[in-house]
Amino acid sequence: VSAQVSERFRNPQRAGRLEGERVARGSGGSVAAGTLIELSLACEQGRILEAAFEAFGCPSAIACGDWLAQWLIGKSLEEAAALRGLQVAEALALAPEKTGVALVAEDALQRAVCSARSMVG
Amino acid sequence: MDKACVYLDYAATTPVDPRVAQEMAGCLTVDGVFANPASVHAHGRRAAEWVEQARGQVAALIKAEPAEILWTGGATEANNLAILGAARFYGRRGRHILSVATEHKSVLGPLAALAREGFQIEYLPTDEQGRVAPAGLAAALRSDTVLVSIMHVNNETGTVQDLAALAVVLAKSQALFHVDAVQSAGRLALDLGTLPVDLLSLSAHKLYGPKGVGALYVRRRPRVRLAPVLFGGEQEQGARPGTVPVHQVVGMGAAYRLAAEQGARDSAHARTLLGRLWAGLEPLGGILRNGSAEAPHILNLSFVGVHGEALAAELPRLSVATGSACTAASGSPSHVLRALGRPDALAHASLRFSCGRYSTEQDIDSAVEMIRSALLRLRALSPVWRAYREGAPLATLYKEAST
Repeated sequence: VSAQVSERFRNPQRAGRLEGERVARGSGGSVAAGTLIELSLACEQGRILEAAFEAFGCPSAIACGDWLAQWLIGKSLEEAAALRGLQVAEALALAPEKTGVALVAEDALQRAVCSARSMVG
Repeated sequence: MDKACVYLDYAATTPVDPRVAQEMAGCLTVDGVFANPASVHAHGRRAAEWVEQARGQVAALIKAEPAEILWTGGATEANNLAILGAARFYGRRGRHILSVATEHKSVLGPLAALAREGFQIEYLPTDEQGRVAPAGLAAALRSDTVLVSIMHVNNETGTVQDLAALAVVLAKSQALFHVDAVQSAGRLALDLGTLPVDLLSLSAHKLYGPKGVGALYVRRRPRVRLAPVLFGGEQEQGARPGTVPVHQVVGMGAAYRLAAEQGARDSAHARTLLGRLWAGLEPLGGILRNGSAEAPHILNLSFVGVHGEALAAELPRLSVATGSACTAASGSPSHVLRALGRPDALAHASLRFSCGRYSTEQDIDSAVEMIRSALLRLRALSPVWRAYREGAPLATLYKEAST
């Protein structure tokens, strides 16, 4: 496990679930498949003001959720939608066999962005 | 070893009792009983005496005759010799073998080898705790069933099989009854004088003896025969060639002698400690027992809402067997817990606690504290735990993929 994963697993900064009318959510993965990540985004005028994650998964999954939620704060929905799981995997120096976990994070992000856009619309 | 680390993995292996180690040390160096027990000179005869004394000590614990005990290189070899040896020797009587999906891999492995030789292996159904019902055995028994292999105490869950009731079913059958008693010997009463088991596998290192030695009980009356699996010298009645390792078997004998003396006390101690563990953990909620928890020294628990790998990563100072061991993905969980119907993700998030002679209340309290803090942290960020707390049923939360 990389130092980045280890640090975020031990001390996640953005763990939790946001509540409120402007909060959009998205989840990726499943319990049966071994990783479930849920993202909450609080948006205003197409920009992400707050983000938090919940995760059922291995240390890498928790690290991915935390990195993602932290990275998202201040980004536009367009920037968020353009992020790929492989970038998350690279940022956290995930072991190759854990790449799938970052793709689950990407799925959660895509669904959260989709939900946020539908709220705006 | 770091004093802050807690060892609760006695079902994997036990430390050697210092009294055992001392007796073993007397069989190694030039001033000790080091000779080859097959040698006919004075040194050899002395070694043979010690070997036979140890054989008597092992036999005494299970109320067998010394001549019914064969030394092996461990319980894996004992299981292989029993299953391969009996099936191949009696193969002309029939080609049907009964066993259980929750057996140890050293039973499932030779059974798979026999299947490749044309034997038909059938696995008996169990209840959700892993018990085989005598009626289920009776229903599966056929006129060409040649061997039935059922373990006494399951190594992962501690579920205990009712051997006496199962043996009654087999009484009128030609099938031989093999029992893997690795986890039960010295912990639960075993009396081969009254229990009609034909073959029984034993280990030294699960009972404060050394690794690398085990034994197979082979009934003499009526005589049970085995086709050898290894070929070489005439040791062990021709059934198991190889120089008998005097220090190892003396260690096993000493360990079994001590078990006869204090096994009941050890078991009561272990049971009390596991009761303390459960009392400490149960209030945390969302903890399921796997198996019947009848064995005195094993408690297997699944933790709702957390991932097995994350849980293991949170417990670096707790030496227990984890459902996530050896499996990076949740796709390959314990074959035992799967046979009991646990969803893979719950089987993956399981811990097997096993304690013994040297375990203390302090060990248990430390373990409870480590697990409490791990669960608190991981569950706080788990969507599965949140949903469970909000009332979602486990069956829905842990629904298996449909494929």
